[in-house]
Amino acid sequence: MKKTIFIFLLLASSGLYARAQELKHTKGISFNVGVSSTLGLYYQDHYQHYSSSDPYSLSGIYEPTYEISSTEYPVFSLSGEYIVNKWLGVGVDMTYSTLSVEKLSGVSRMNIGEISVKGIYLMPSVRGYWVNKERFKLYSGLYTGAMVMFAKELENSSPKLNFSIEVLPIGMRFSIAGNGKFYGVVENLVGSRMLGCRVGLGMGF
Amino acid sequence: MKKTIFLFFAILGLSGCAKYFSDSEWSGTYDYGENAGRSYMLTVANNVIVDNLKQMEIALFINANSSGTSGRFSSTGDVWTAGSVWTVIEEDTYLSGLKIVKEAEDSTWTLSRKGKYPFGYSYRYNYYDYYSGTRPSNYFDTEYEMEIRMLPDHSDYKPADHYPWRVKLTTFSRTEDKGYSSSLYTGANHLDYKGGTLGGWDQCHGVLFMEVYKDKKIIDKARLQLEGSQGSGSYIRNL
Repeated sequence: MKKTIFIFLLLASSGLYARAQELKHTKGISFNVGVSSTLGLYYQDHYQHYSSSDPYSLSGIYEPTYEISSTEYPVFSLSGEYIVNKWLGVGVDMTYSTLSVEKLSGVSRMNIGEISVKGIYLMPSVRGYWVNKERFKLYSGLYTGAMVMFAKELENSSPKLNFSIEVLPIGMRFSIAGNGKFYGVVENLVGSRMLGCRVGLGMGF
Repeated sequence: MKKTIFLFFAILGLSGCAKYFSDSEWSGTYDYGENAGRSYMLTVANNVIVDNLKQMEIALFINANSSGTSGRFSSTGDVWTAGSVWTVIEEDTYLSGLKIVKEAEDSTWTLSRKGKYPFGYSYRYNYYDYYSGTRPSNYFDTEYEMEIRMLPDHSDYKPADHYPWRVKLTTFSRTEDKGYSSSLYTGANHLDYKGGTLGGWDQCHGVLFMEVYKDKKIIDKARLQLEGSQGSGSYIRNL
């Protein structure tokens, strides 16, 4: 994986000055809001204390037995990007994702606790452009980075550090005003942050 | 360009499907609760009662072989004589303090004990090698009383080491941590233990009831119908 990323970055740097001068607004910053967070899956992987049980003690039988009802919130990201050339771009995302988990007793179905889960991601990216016009761009990409997850509960609040990876199968950036100076973004993301899409507004310079 | 836009939205749509499948994993119900208490009740039926019956049979063996009480029991007389009381005095056992009382001139005894009792550990017993295994740690206060009756043995092949028994669990209460306690009983029913080899009985038929309390308030009820071989039986909760 490290080798792949290195090759991508090498390609990016080699074409750094190639055709950048022909493109406008090669730098951009955008604010994005996404849906369908995958934070719940991460939480499930790393805080599975509810699945443990001890069939020989009553607390082991009844207390770990609960269902979870989760409420997801939008995934917020601040994205920076730099278009290296007509085919290649690099960027970095800072993302904040949150999830609220309600624990329901497996016996009475009553609420027996709440867990607040938060995830912060820092993910550099590389992207290739299928279409790279001044007013319209179509691209695919790959994000890799790290995420820190906090699950706040009475007995378990230690942060977890995870590797995160995400594929951007397809994304679209289109001009709103100023021939691409102000633009909108619609992206499809599959990976560590979400299995869904996000929209955003950005400014190029 | 139209094709490109079409492709864009097609992929966007597929991602929605991906999320649908991931949702089915995440919001799933953990069904462990549906069987809550089953293993617990089986522990009482297959371990606690069985271990006590084995003590009874050890007492019978020692009594029959005129070997005194072997330092394992204190006794007030022949184990078959009405009014006799045999008490487990050996320290290195979780059944220390168990009383075997012969109430009348018949084939019934009452076994009772009050004290710490571990769950989840299976001990190897035989008449000569009483204790084996790691000493358990999850002791909780447990008080029980059971009326046991030796049944006539009609089997063609008589197991070498065990009698058939009918057990009425009249009292069983266990006080555990975090405010939990349990009460088990056979009520008007009973449990029959038959067959088996040196290791134990291989047949247990009957009905066992359980009530579970949290902070002295009842939170669950269950019924376990034992249907023969160890571990088999139908379990119903929330009666």
